[in-house]
Amino acid sequence: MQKTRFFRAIAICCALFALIFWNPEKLFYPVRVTLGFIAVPFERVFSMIGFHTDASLEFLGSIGTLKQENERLTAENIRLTAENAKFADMTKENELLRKEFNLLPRGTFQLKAAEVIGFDQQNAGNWLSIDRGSADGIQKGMAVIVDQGAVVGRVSDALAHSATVVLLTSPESVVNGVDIQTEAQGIVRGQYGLGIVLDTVLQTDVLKQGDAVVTSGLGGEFPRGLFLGKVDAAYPSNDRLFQQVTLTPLINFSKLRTVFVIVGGVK
Amino acid sequence: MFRIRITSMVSFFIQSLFLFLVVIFQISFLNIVFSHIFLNALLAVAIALTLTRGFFVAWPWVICLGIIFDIFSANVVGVTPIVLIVFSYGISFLSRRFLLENKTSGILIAMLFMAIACLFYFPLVWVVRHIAFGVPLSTEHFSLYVASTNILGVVISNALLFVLLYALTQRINQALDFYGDRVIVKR
Repeated sequence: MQKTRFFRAIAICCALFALIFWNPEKLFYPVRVTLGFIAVPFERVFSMIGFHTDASLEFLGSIGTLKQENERLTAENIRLTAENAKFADMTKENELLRKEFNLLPRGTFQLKAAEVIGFDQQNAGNWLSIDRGSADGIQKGMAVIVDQGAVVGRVSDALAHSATVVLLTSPESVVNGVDIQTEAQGIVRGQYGLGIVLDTVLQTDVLKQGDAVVTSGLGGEFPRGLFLGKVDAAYPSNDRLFQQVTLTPLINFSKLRTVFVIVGGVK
Repeated sequence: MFRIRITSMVSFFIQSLFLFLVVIFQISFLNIVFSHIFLNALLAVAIALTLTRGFFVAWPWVICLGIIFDIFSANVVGVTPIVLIVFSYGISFLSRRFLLENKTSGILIAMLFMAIACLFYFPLVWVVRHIAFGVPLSTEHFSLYVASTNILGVVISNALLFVLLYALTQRINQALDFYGDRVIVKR
């Protein structure tokens, strides 16, 4: 009896492996849609409690450092106010010059704001779920950013009222990137939530620590100029044909609460 | 006079609802609040189910739990059930040989197993994904993982989470057994 049960369990495991290889997305789609529909209210409640608990815990943990933090922020506020005044002047000058040269105004993307309602831990699948779906115009493949224009990832699956976003740190995420300073191009890949790497960079390209890497716009899925990360260190690839560059992302993916989906091109 | 037995259907519904809520609790609460120390409720419930019900009764539920998680996630359906079933079989193997008789030492060994299992959970997920889809995997990933993981924090917090979820699972199973044996007589 035990033996039969054991073989049954083995058979089920084999069936699961077959399921993985076969990958019948259409078979699970109705289940995914139904469960997704039922789960959204639960996810909203749980995530709201989660974010509030997280904020409270963070507050309790930061009481000791509040004074220092306050002083640092005051100093930074003064610096940013001065910088802001300088940039306001430069923006005005830029507008005048663009007008002079008959250039089109700099565009902004059509964005759809979404709340994060679920999140996968850094090392597993590297995804998050948001409370907007196909009913709000979200489609598979759309780029997801945060308000500074830094890439979070792309929509991998859109249900009616929720969507799954594969993060930049996922090994399945591939984005074309370019170093702003040196114009060195490569492919940005995730490392199982352990960081991101700019891969297949030519050996002749020289990248410096702190250089900004942005989307190159190649492939068409991500518009050019979205921030991906800063250069940390460069080392030769295993086959010694290219360089691999580790990047430091601007975003703390585990602290994201609101993201923006690029639903349309430049206005 | 009717005799209605509250049997498999209600039990199935309650058990499924419990697994569904565990998945939601994992992705919408634990992953948000404990973003730096991964608390694995899925693994804890899989082990607790195996300990309370026995592997040969629990494995369909463990697979269900994994499938529900994969359906919600960006994973291909099938990856998480395989990983969970491996650990479920592991604890069943241990329980048959060492821990069933003494309750205190049994739960301590189960906590230890949970603590070790949660450290090997992600590497096993990577290996399955590597075998199944050829997702690149190298020794650097493992060394990076070890370097970036707060091992002590993960071990202690997961062991504690296991105790909580084990107690909850046991309670639910006792309630299901109680109602499962009851017969309601309607006139």
